[in-house]
Formats: sequence, C-alpha cells, structure tokens
Amino acid sequence: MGEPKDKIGIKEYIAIALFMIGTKTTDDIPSMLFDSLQNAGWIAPIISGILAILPLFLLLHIAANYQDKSLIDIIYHIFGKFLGFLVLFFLWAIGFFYIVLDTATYTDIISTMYFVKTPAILIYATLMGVCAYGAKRGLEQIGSVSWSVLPYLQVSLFLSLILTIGQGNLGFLFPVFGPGEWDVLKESTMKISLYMDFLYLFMLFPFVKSTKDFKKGTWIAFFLILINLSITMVSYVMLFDYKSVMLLNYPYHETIRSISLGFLTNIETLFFPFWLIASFIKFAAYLYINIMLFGKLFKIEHFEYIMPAFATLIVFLGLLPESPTFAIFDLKAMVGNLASPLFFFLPIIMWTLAKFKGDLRK
Amino acid sequence: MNFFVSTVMILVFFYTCGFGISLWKEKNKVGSLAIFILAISIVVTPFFSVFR
Repeated sequence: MGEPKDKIGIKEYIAIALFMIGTKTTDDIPSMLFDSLQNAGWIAPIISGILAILPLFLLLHIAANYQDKSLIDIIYHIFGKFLGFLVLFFLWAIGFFYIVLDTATYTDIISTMYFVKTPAILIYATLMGVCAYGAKRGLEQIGSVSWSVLPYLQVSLFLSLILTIGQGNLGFLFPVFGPGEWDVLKESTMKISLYMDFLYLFMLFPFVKSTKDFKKGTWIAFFLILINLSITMVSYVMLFDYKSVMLLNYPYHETIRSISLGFLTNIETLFFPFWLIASFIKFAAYLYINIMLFGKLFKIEHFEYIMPAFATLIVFLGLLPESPTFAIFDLKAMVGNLASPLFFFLPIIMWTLAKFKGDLRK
Repeated sequence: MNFFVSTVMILVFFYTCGFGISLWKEKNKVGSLAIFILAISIVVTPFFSVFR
C-alpha cells in the first residue's frame, strides 16, 4: 500500500468527505448541539459552517500555491522541522483520540440499540477489523467504494427524512432561536470543530487528480454536508420536540425506531445496514488518514504494517470508559473544544506565515 | 473471552515488534522507537479496560 499510486477523482473525494463528516448527524453530535441550544440546535451547523468558510478558503488558497504538496509537507515547509513536527503531532493526537472516542460511540450505539446481548468487545473488534481491512486496501479502494454506495445511502437517508418530516410537527421549531440569538451564536462558534475533518482531508490534496477538482470537490462536499446536517437536525426537532430530543443520546436511531412506513413498523432494520456501511467507510477513511500522518511523522514508508497495531490499540482504549454513553459524550465535547480553535486559527497562521515568506503569489 | 483477547494482544504485539525491528535495521530509529511504544501500549492498555 504505502502512499496511493493512482489519484482519486472529484466524485470519490466528495464521497469520502460526505462519509467522514456527513455521518456525524447519526451519532451523538446532534445530542451535544441540542443539549446547549435546545430547539435551535439545527442552526449550529449553519453558523459554524459560515465561520468554517474562512479557514477552508485559506487552506484552499495555500494548497493551490503549493502544488503537489500535501498539508503535511506544507506545514513542515511553513513552520520548519521542529515546530512543524509539533503541530502535526498535535493534529495526529487529536485525530487519534477522536477516532477512539467516535468508534467507542458507534460501538455503544450498536450494542445499546441493536445487539444488546452481544459483548461490546466483539462488536468493537468486528467494527475495527472491517475498517482496518478497508483502510489497508488504500485510498483508491476507499474512494471507489464510497462513490459506489453513496447513492444508496443518500436515498436511505432521504427516505428516513421524508418519513420523519411527514410525521413531525413544524411548530416544534419555534421560537427559531431557542435560548436566544447570542447564545446560539456563541455555542455555534464553539462547535466549528464539526468541520475539522476538512483539515485532515487536505492531507489527501496530492492524491486528488487536479487542484481544480480538489477545490470544487471541497466546496461541493462542504455545502452538501451543511445541508445534510441541518435538515436531519430539523427533522429530529420536528419529530420529538426539543425537550425529548435533549434527552436522547442517539437521535437518529431513536428516529428510525419511531417512524413507520404505512403498515410497516420497525423499519430500523431497513436503515441500520446502510448506516453500518457508512460507518465502515467513515472509519476506514479516518484510519487511513491518521496512519498516513503517523507514517509521515516518523518516516515510516510502509505504514500499512501498523494498521493491526492501531486497530487493536483503538479497541483497547475505546473500552476504557465504564459508562461510554456519558463518559465519551463529555470527552468528545472536550476534544471538540480543543479542536475548534485549532481548526479556525491554524489556517490563518499558516496563511500569514506563507504570505510573509512570499510563497503566496497566485 | 479473555483467552481470545490475550491471543490477539500477543500476536499483534509480536507482529508490531517485528516491524519495529525491521525499521531499526533500516536505520529508521525514530520510527522504530515509535513502533515499540505502540507495541508496549497494546500490551498495557487491556489491563485497564478488558482484563480489569
């Protein structure tokens, strides 16, 4: 495996981005947003999305000026060897802990909502086994699988949305700004880390066919994700009202349990496999990027050999919290609070330093 | 279950150490050290999570 030999196209890149970030609406992220913003939780992806435009724009500008260099090489070039290593190590550590927490959340979802009698370690090991295998296959395979299953997953999400909104109450959305405009603005700003994964996606810059494809793909993916996140969160409020939705840990799974398709009930069995496929692809992409970063940090060319070690360590670390539903929720909020300023300020600092170095001519 | 976890843990530990040794032979000492730390964490962490 090592670094990919072939490049991925715009379609594959968009699909990977959609899986990595778009699936956040189906875990405990909505719960975090509703917790602080009540019925205005669905506005947070929009406001933090508007704020994320600046770092994204700067990152794209930097990437376009350093053709054929990934974010890793650009950081080394801008910050120098020592400081660059520290920045990248911090990025890797945040990414790694986020994978641990996120996989633990997904295991908790599967074990508390679907396979209640199966030991969590077996579910976790299966999840990580599949994802590690996917990641080991390389970026091209992750990209092509993402693109081939994306239509089915979008149709399944769209169907669940139609059913949810059809059975919901529009009145539950009011008052639109929930706890107040200022609170909504303040809390949404803190949740800019929702789009943090774009920073990691920039590490794939040299492996996308052209700069134009990368730029176009980033903006298309960004707007699709923003719309996906907001509409699904609107549907949760419409179905449950804010008081109930604040108490739910995994609103998407409660939603697909609550809705019915005519005389058909328990249609979560229809949506669950699609969600599972999306989760496998998401973590395969996450693992690939994180291990590639680790390999670059420590100059390990064939980083695929550390895939089993990473997957095993993630399982052991993810099983550390005794009550994952609550402990991971708090830890994720903590990592999010660290990641938000990093995602916002790192591109600004990079752009300023590159400008001072005279590298930004285009 | 503990037997299964221990077997996986030991296998992955030796596999990772093997890769660390090959990196050391290739003169990539920093990479090798990182891999050994990774291998040690694989042996230590289950005692706080799975075997507790």
